[in-house]
Amino acid sequence: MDIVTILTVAVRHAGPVLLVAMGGLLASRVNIFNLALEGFMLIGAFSSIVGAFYTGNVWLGVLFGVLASTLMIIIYAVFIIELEVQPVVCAISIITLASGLTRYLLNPVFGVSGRYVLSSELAMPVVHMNWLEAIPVAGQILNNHSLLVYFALVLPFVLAFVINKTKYGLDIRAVGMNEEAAVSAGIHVRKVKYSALMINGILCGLGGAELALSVYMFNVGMTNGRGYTALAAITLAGCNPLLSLITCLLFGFAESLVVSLSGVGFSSYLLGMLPYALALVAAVAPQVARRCIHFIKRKKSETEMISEYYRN
Amino acid sequence: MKRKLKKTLAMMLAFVLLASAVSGCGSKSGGESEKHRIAFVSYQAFDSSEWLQNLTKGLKQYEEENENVEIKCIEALAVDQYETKVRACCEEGFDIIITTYSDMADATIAAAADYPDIKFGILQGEMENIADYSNIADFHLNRTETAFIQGCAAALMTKTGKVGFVGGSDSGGINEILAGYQQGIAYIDNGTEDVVTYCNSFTDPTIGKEYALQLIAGGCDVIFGAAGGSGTGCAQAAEEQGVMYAACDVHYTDAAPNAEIGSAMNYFENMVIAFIDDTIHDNYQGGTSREYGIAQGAAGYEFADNDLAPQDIQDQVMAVSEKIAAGEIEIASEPLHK
Amino acid sequence: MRNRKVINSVLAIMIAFIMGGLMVLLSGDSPLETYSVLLKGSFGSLNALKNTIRYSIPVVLLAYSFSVCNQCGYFNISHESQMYSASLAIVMVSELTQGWPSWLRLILMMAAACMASIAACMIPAAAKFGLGVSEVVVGVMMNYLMAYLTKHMIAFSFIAQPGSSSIMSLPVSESVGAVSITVSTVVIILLYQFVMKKTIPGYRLSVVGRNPLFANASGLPSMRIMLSSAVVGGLLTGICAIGEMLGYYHIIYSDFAVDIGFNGMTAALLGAQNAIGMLLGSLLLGALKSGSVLLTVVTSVPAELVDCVKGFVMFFATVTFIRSDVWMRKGGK
Repeated sequence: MDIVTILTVAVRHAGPVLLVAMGGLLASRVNIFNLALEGFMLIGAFSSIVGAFYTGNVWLGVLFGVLASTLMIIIYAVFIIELEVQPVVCAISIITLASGLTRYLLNPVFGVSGRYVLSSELAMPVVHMNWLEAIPVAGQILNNHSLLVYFALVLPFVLAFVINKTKYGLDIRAVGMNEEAAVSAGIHVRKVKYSALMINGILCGLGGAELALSVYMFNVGMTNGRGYTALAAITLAGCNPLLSLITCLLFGFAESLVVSLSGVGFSSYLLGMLPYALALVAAVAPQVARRCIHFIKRKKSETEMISEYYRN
Repeated sequence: MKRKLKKTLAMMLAFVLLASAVSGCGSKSGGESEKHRIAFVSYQAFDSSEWLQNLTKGLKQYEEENENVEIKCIEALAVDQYETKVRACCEEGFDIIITTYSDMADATIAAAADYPDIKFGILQGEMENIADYSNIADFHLNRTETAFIQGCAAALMTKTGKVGFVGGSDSGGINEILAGYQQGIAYIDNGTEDVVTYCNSFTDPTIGKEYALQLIAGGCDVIFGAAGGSGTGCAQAAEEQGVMYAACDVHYTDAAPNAEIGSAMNYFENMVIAFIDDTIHDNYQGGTSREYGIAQGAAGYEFADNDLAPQDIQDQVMAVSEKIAAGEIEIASEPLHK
Repeated sequence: MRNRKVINSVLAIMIAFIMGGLMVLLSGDSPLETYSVLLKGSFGSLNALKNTIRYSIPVVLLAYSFSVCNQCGYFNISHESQMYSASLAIVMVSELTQGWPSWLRLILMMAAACMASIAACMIPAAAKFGLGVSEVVVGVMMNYLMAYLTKHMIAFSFIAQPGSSSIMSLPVSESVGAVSITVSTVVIILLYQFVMKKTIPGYRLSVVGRNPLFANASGLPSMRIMLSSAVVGGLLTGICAIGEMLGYYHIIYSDFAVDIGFNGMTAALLGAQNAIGMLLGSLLLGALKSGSVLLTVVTSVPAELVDCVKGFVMFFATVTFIRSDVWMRKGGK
């Protein structure tokens, strides 16, 4: 498998995770550690399949996914903000509810159990851009993805702009840094938190819809830990949108590498460790490097000082 | 105000307790002496694998056709629930209890020791000292047989000489299927080589699709998916790329309507029903281990409705099937390579 | 003030049960029957009580482990990796010391388990305090890594059991009785409450947790105390692993520790990180589990709905309905 294919698969794999990660990033910027990204993504996936089934249109299916996910997150928001439930406990219960409900509803809605496959006409359409064929390597990697994946690639830049350059972004940062100060500055803290969570819900719905509609089916538990990967990606990146783009792509690259290295004879379990080992290295390496550089600089200035002293 | 609240709480608690006491009284089903109560405890979710879905459907049908039989299918998905659920079944008056896979072997042994009158059966248990347990019967469906036939079909149908395998996990059950597949390919002996991958998930069609796409890009034109829900993704990949798909336990009429060359069907329900029939007709063989395969009607190779295999290849494949049923071909259960 | 919190939790749990009952009703089963079976399965017979205790013990140990670390600012979510490390250590020692006297093997296995889980607990702590890396990321990654490593070991290494239809390790012949496990857990619970409330190290821990800078300024060695909280947390998880492995399983099954950390963390948060609250929270989770065992065997309520009821209970159990401002305005106590 060549590097271009690996990178293409990486982008394709990172798409849904990126959407969900951006949602989680916005929530964590207002100090809500949304552990339940996995649950919201699953609900988005299931609802998008239900929507596409009943309306016969892919994009209406996406809309359904977004609406369902946003509705759930509003409930979550009410519980954490108004009723002051512990966010982590609430998140765990949302995840449990989401997986139980989506599994249970397959029977009443579709009459099947375990998975439901739509007709292939309802697959997420893949966009082929002719002008990208002219660009040698990057063009091939970025070509032939769905619209939602392209949106996911552009979103970090949009979010970075919104957070750093707009008034709304300033409000978000203020609430995140010091809620009481924000209140005294006249910022409507509850409104900001709710809106951040709602955007989170929309993005999780989009991520789930992309995941499900690109294979035009729903399978019980199909998110398979992507919500947690998104959380890890944004925590690694310190909740910075552009760095999160890089970490999500890194995770996608690692998964793609695992796929390409299979079939050679490595233990599939050891291969499965690869993305997480890579993430650990990505988390630890910059800090280790920083300390080493700091140590070297200090040593250098110390020897300089001592030689100065002896010269005098 | 606080006292009032406490009072209401106390009343609510009392009500709940009273309600449960009252409703708990009459809910035990009177044991009719003729009815056999059978419990089937699965270590996997019922909707996770196709063979398990077929099994539960078959058991429900059997229950409807036979009035003297009551079957309850129970999931025990976490390791700490195996023994407690089996014991709960013992206490609730089930007289035949069927457990699954070597994961539940210890739980079955412990419960069987305490309830010598209950007849236990274990599916794919692979218990070594089965003779020591007189009230446990081990039955095993040899999935290598239909996988062998699938390997033959794949080797006969391939035009590029390369076929692929996507397994759900690198474990005994899947490797059995892989072993049959590889030996089937070797049996046809036309230079076909196979590539083995494991996608480490039974519920992720997106990643299954990626694994299949990678195999296809590497030159495979037949993909054999033994990975539950992830396999559906493999079938989709085969359909989209115009290559052939070899199915396991199911026909992918929804995901791959034009790509299938045949399905290695394993009728676990036939095996379990045979065990139940034997047991209720006083033919219970505790302490033994029985193998089921094509010859016992517990497995078979089926072609899809608009199958890609032409008639002569279909005939060749069914001839192999008959040879296996007659016991003329020996199939080992260890894969040749990974 | 504390009474209000207790009333809140109880009220919340009642509402949760009502909502769960509604869901069961909508799906066609009887909520009264469901709840009566849940009660019967968790407290209705000697066997039920034994099951409830058996399920509550790992939860309470992990809840204390989480709480000790959390009080020092170390968000310990790597319980799965600690459990896997400890159980791998037990089975490896068991295989390497075949034929040695039983009491020696038992001691060695328990020591190895504790050392392995302490090491696994220290890694995210060291990353956080030594390198400034988020311990959440390190912890979650370690969970996945140890899960895969365990699967690899029980599939291919010298501890793998050949010829089984699923991957699992070789069995460990030594055993620890359920009674000893229960008694040890009770001792640990009492010790924990005593140490945290009445002794100097316990006090130091809570001071460091509340304000590490102030603690440093007062002369307490914050770093050392925080790392020692990780040691205690790891030790508790190691004891939990010993109980599970030597008490019940004797074999490492694939993914046996999935979500075990979540349960402990939930109990810790449900109990507001107060020793008795965590015990009650663990008992609640244990009771739900043992009740659901009977529920799936006796009724036709699908397992997913039982999960939903569990979800609802956790949902509501820390809701503060009665807000402090309402009480103050009404002049209530």
